[in-house]
Amino acid sequence: MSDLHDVRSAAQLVAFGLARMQAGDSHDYRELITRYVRDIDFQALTETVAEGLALRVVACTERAGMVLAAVGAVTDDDPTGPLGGHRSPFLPLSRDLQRIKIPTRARERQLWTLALLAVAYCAFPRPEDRDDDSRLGQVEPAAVEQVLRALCSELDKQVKRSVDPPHEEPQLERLWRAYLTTAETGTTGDERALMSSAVALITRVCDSLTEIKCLRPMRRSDPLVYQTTPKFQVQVREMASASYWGELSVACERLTLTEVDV
Amino acid sequence: MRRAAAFACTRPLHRLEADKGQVQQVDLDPYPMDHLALDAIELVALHQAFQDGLTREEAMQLLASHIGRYAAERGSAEHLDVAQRILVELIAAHELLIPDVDDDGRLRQVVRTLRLLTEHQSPTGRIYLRAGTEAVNVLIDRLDVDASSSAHAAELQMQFLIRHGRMAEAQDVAHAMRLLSVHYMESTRRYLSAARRNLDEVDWQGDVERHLAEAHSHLRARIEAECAIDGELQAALDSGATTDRPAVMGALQLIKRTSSTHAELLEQLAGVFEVFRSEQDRQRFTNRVILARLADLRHDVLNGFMALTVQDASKLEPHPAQMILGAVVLPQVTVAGIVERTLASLDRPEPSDDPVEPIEYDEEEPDDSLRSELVGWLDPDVVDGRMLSEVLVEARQELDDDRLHRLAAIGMEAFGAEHLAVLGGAGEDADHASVPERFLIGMPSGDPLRVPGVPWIGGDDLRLVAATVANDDDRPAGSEER
Repeated sequence: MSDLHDVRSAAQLVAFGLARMQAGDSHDYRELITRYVRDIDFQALTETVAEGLALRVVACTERAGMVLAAVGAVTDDDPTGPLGGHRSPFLPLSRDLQRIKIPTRARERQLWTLALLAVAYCAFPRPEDRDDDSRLGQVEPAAVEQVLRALCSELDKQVKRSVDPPHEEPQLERLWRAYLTTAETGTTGDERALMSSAVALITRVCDSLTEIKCLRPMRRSDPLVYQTTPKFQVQVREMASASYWGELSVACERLTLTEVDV
Repeated sequence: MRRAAAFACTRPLHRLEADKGQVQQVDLDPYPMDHLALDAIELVALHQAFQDGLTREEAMQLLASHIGRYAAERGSAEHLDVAQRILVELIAAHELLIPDVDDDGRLRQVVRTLRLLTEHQSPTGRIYLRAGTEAVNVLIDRLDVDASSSAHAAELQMQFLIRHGRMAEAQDVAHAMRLLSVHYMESTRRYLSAARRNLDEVDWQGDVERHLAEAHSHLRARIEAECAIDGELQAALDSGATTDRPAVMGALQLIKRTSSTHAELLEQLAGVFEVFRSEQDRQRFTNRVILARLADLRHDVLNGFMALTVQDASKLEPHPAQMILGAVVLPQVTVAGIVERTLASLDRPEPSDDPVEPIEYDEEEPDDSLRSELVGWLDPDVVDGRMLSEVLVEARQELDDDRLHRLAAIGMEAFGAEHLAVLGGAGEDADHASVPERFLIGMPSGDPLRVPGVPWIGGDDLRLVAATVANDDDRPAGSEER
């Protein structure tokens, strides 16, 4: 049985993680991380504290710091869980997403997510980049745009089935098609940058990631280039571990195989 | 069905021609708008290089001088205006209804979005135009025909035309050849950027080698042909045998431009193996530890996600965006925060008696793209020190009523913006996320907000002051300013 001081330390480590601090920011934080890494009892204690708060420790390393996920965000709601089936208080609500400028409409939000996944891919293009802890990826919005557009048009060429939605059911629009209809870049009538363009969308994604300390803008880069933080890498791995990707990838391949005779 | 789709791509051109009678400001009768639109597409396609091309302004100037040939007496201002109309129409997205067959074999109409010209950003930040795939297809048929044989045929045709003095046709063929070179450059560029990301994604043995061999033989043939044609043209000029000197000069010019395109392609091809070697060094000799259970970001994640419909993507649980964003701490409302907020409001001047008219908009689903577009009007650095009414009067020239309404609402948000910053300073870290480094504070000036001609905007006029968040504990600089 741990004493109260240990419980306090474990809770403090969770709090540091929630505060999105960097391990370098605080001496106490660094010490707690070292303890977490070395002391298996303290590790178990910290994970229990997190669990009680409906959180899960995704990773806790000196480089990435304490990275947490809201439990509701990674597993189905479990009626026997600490909140008895209620949403985790740490699950981002629609309003919080809006706060970091994530769109609310379904189509815009999914395009935003597509851009987010493209940023992750461009930051870590090879599996070994994503899995190499010492790797810092770089992201340049205009380059991400080109890569994503190329991938979308490639898929568009390969798909042999008819996928265009009837015009009364726009929610059946496929995301790559939706992306291809977005102008790459552009100017409004008075020479200002077009905010609805794809480059602007990706720049907004990078800004949101910067706000939650997943990216940091590199100084003196023009056009602006962002560098990934270890935390982003951990979160990307977390995202890639979701169980549905294999299924989605097969579904995508199926689109390119089935042919409907015309 | 493919023919119907291809035909649909020409519809924007026909529409330009058909609608020209409805344009009130300019008499477009002398101008064949559909032909000019084709010329505009060709102009853009011919100037598009590896990562560059004509800007909208340059394209407008070039097109205008071409338009001038139809109605020289109308003056260059009108030609520019016509050029702009054409370019705007070609850049705009056109929604076309195309016949299609669904999975059950039933016929239906589907919507396709088409842009004939698209805007891109070059590495130097220039925004330039490119002809879209459909545009190139409408213009010069399909480009992905067997490259070597069609090039050979075209060359024979060109030599024949020049020998018989048919310079104009020879120029056409040379145009087509140049577009083919541009096509090779485009695919080389795609291979190179893919190789920089991940060598494993590029099939070096098959695709790239075949592509390089084709491009090289295309170039070799082109350069030989150009030398020969150049010689024949010079000879024609020197002997005085030709009656059409301007056409010969034009053809010579074209050959020169074509040569420079080819030189660029040659240089690009020479760099391919250099890129391959350096990327091999960089990518191969780093440690490779692959966790097999994780999905591949490109094939599984990106492709899998982009193939979903909007509806299915919204239903993913847990949603990938949530997983990347991680746990979020909600701002907690504390008594201390409320007290501080109340105290802060005592420092402010009393607003005038004219009540602020509540401006409502749909809180559930605000259109974020619209908001982001409108926020441009309220750039803190630009409007610093101005009155909200001035900004609205200016905006009224360009915005419709709905947008103006929304802009007024966004402007009103500046009123009380300092409270937001105070809350952040009171120790609620999560709130920092919402306070940008530079923001606007609106101070009631005591005058009513009036925008001439817009009776439904009312309340207090605000003086807008730009403020900067200095650091975590400070109140924003400038919040004391009036």
